[in-house]
This record gives sequence, structure tokens and C-alpha cells, in this order.
Amino acid sequence: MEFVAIILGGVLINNFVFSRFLGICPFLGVSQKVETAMGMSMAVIFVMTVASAITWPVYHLLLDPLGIEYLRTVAFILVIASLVQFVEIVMQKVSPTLYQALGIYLPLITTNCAVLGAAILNVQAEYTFIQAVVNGLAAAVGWALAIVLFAGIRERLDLADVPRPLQGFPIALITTGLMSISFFGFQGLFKQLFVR
Amino acid sequence: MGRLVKDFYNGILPENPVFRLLLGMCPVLAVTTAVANGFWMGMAVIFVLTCSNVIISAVRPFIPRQIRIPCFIVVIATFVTIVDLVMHAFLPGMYEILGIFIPLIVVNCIILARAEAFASRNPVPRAAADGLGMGVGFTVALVVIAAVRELLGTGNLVVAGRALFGAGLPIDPALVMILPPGAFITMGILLGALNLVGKKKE
Amino acid sequence: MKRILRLGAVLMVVCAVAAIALAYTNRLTEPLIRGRVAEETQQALRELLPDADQFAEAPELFSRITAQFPEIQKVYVARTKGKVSGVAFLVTTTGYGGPVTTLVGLDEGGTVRGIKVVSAAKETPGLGTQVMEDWFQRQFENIPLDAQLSLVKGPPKRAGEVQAITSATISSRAVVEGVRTCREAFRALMGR
Repeated sequence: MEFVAIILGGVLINNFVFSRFLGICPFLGVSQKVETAMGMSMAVIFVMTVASAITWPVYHLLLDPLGIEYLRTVAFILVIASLVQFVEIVMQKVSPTLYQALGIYLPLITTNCAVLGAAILNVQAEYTFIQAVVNGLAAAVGWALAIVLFAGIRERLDLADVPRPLQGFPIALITTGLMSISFFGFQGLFKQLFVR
Repeated sequence: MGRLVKDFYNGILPENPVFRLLLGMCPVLAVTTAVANGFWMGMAVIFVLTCSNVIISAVRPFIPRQIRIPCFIVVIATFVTIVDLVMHAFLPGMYEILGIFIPLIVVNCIILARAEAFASRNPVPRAAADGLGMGVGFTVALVVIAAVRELLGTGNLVVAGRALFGAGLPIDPALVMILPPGAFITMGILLGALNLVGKKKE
Repeated sequence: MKRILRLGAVLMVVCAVAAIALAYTNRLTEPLIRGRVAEETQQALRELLPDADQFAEAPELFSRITAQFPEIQKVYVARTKGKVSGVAFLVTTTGYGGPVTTLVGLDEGGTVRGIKVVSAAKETPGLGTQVMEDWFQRQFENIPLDAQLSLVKGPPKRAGEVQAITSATISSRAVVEGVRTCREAFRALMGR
């Protein structure tokens, strides 16, 4: 039950792009084509889940017991940066095909604020290890859902007759705004399903 | 001297990080629900950007090329944590509103981009001018977007704790402007308007 | 090999300097952060229960109710000239966007004397954040323990009714739930 809540919350209600504003740069940057959006999504889902799993023990078994919680930001960003490097090296050795598909997206993930954001939110929400991993996965899936849907719309937008000053980023942002409105419809879902 | 002024001015208009380079969009969209929030977020970014630019420029002869990025990240993360702690101590209300976007300054692309593209290649005074200019440009952008959203979304503007229009403008506030969708739409329309003005000039 | 060691050493020096700088900043700000929270709480408690002259946290009362009321974060006992004259709870409930934290003051008879929403930072700006406004919080003043507490749309008709904020029912309900929890906790403590 509680996992259903975390998953629904992460994917739909508190969607990272549409309601929390996390990971907007890659969302706008790599959404020209559905195919690249899918590749980026897979890379983000993988890294975000693993990052949630690794930052949890770093905080709860290292920083917190030692009383140095204030090093959280420094520690998390270093862990995430090394993790991305590590994944890149392992992937290159183990599965060159996968590396070819996802490799180019990996370096971009270090500065994807969604990954660090998920790690910090896990700490703030005081999740247990399993909850933190599920939350990281759900948030990443939500991000992926957003970018793939958006890329689909953008592919069609290329063919549309958009007024010249709005071409490119402006119309992309307005489109995101409209998608955000439709995702707003999920806001009441949680209360209806779980509170009563 | 003229060069420093140019470096400073560069970040405000010609290469405004938000309107021209479209960098660091997450906080731009997230915290611009009120002018005060945008302003304080901007102050935090000015501090981090200027300090990290100065330090990175100062230590650049001693940092081997291969590990420059991890070193930059550590420097930036350190200043971000300092802002985090200081804001928590002195501006607790604002600290709570800005929330996760304070620690997330560390992954703001503007800061790493300026470290890599400018501070690691230029002397300290120029790096400082660049950091300050970019920071001010970022703040100006945040305040402009926030002003539009706050005005349309609440029918009033609150500056330094005082409402500018007394009981509010005689309009029916469009609530959607301060909700997440309003952020995207405002930003899109502002960018479109800037394109239009830019075209006319040419 | 030598090169790798050199790189490692540089990285370590950078990290060490960063850690020292942060440790120092933390030493300067930590007492300020703690002190400010304590100061603000005392100030709020004085506003809620103006008759009392002394407020103290009561961990033994807290430990008695925490299992039954996990929403309650802290319990304070108010004394007037050394005699217990009221109790205050810090309670956190779930609003629209996140936690809503409220300080609730009750006198020795269990009448709510006043409430103060301490934090509602994740509620919708301009809507849900209205729970922090005076007119909303005033509605909770002097609600006796035996009056039924309920949230209504439109103006309240009897004691115990609280008018919900237009288009922010969930945020309003979070505060009402918080106050209700505190009243239940008071009953549990008093054994009524």
C-alpha cells in the first residue's frame, strides 16, 4: 500500500518535470526525437535507482552517525559523479552494445539535477532503504514518461506552423506548460484513493 | 578596467544565462512564484558563482587537467553548503521556501559552465567580474519572471515585505500563473517576446 | 603510477580544505540555527498562551502519547506562577503539497486557546499558504474540548466550526486534523 503511494506519487502526482521542476535541462535538451529521449530515459532510470541505493547508506551509515550531515551535498555529488564514471566504464567492458546506445547520455547525467534531487528528497522524507530505492525508481520512471511524451509532441510540432518568434524553445516551454496542466489532474488522485 | 566592465556586462544582457543561454532552468521555473523568492535565490547564486569563479581561477595553475572537473565540483559544492548553512541560520523562512533548490545550485549548469569555460582560463579579477555579471544576469531574469507570475497570479507585488498595490489590482488573479504550469508558459512567452524584440532590432 | 598518486594527492588536498572550511562554517551557524528555532518557539508559545509565564518541553508527556499520536512532534507545558496552566503541542499533518506544522495551545480545561501554523512552505503560494494568515488561525481560538471540531465551506454557524479557505480545502483540513489530533492527545493525557 505504502509502495503504491510512493510509486503513484513519484510517477504521476509529484512528477519531477511537471510539478517539482527537476531535470529540466536534459528534458528540454534531449527531447527532439523519441528515440534519443528513450535512450536518455533508460540511462536516467538506471543511474537514479542506483544513486538512491548508494546515497542512502552514505547518509545513514556514514554522515549521520558521524554528525557531519552538513557534508551531504558535497558527498552526494561526488558519489553521483563517480557512480556515473563507474557505470560508464563497466558498461563499456561488459556490454558494448548497451554502451553504444546509452554511452553518450551518461556524462550528461552528472549535472541532471533530478538525480541529486532524488537523493536529497529521500533523506528529507526519512525513507527506509527500500522506500528510497522505490522512490528513486518511481521518480525516474515519471521523468522518463514526461520526456518520452514530450518528445512525441515535439516531433509533430516540427511540422506545425508555429509563429516565428515562438519557434524552438518558446513553443517547447508552452507545450510543457500545457502538459503540466493535464498532469495537474492527478493531484486529487492520491487523496481520493488513500485518505478516506 | 574597461575589460572588467565588459566581462561583467556580458552576463547581464549579451549572454544572459537564462534568456540567452537557457542554463539552469530548474530553479528559474521553480522558485519564481514570488519576487522575494526569485531575489534571494539570485543572491545565493551570485555568491556561489562569484566565489567559485575566484577560487577556481586562483588555483588553476595547481590543478592537473585530468581531475579539474572533480575539483571544480568540490569547490562549488563547498560554497553551496556555506550558502545553505548561512541561509538556514539567518533567513529560516526563505530557506524553507527555496528548500531543495539551495543544495541543487551545485548541479546548476551555469556554475560549472562558467568554471570550465571562463574561470579556469582567465585571471582572478576577470573571473570575479564574469561570475558577478552572470549572477546578476541570473537574478535579473528570476526577478522579471517572478514579477510577471506574482502580478498575474495574485494581483499584487510584494517587495521587501510591502504590497505595492495596496489591496491588489482590480483584476481577477489567474491562479495558474503561480502554479507549475504558469512557470513554463510565462517563460515560453517571455522568450518569444524577446525573440520578437531581437528581430525588430536587426 | 606516480602520476596517479599525484592526482590523488591533489584531489585529497582539495577535499580536505573544503571539509575544513565547511566544518568551520557549521560551527559558526549551528548554534544560531538551534537558538533561532528555540527563540521562535518560545515567542509563539507566549502568543498562544499569554497568561502563562513559563514554558518547558515535556519529554515524559511526549513519550506517553507518541505511539498513539505519531503526528505530534513536541509537547510543552505552560506554567503560571509555578502552577500548570496549559499545554501546547507541535503537530505535523499532511497538506496539499507537503507537511503542515502547527503549534496548538490548550488551557488546563482543554479549550483551544490559539494555534499558530509554523510552516506550510510546500502549500500552493497564495492559496494553501493562507492557513498562516490571522483570520484563518483566529477561528480556532476558544474552542472548548466538548465542542465538535469540523471544517465547513462558508461562514461558521456554531462553535467548533472552521471555515475552509476557498480552493484550499486540503490545506485547511490539514490544520483542522492537526488541532483534532492535539485535542485527542490532551484527552489521552488527562485520562478522559
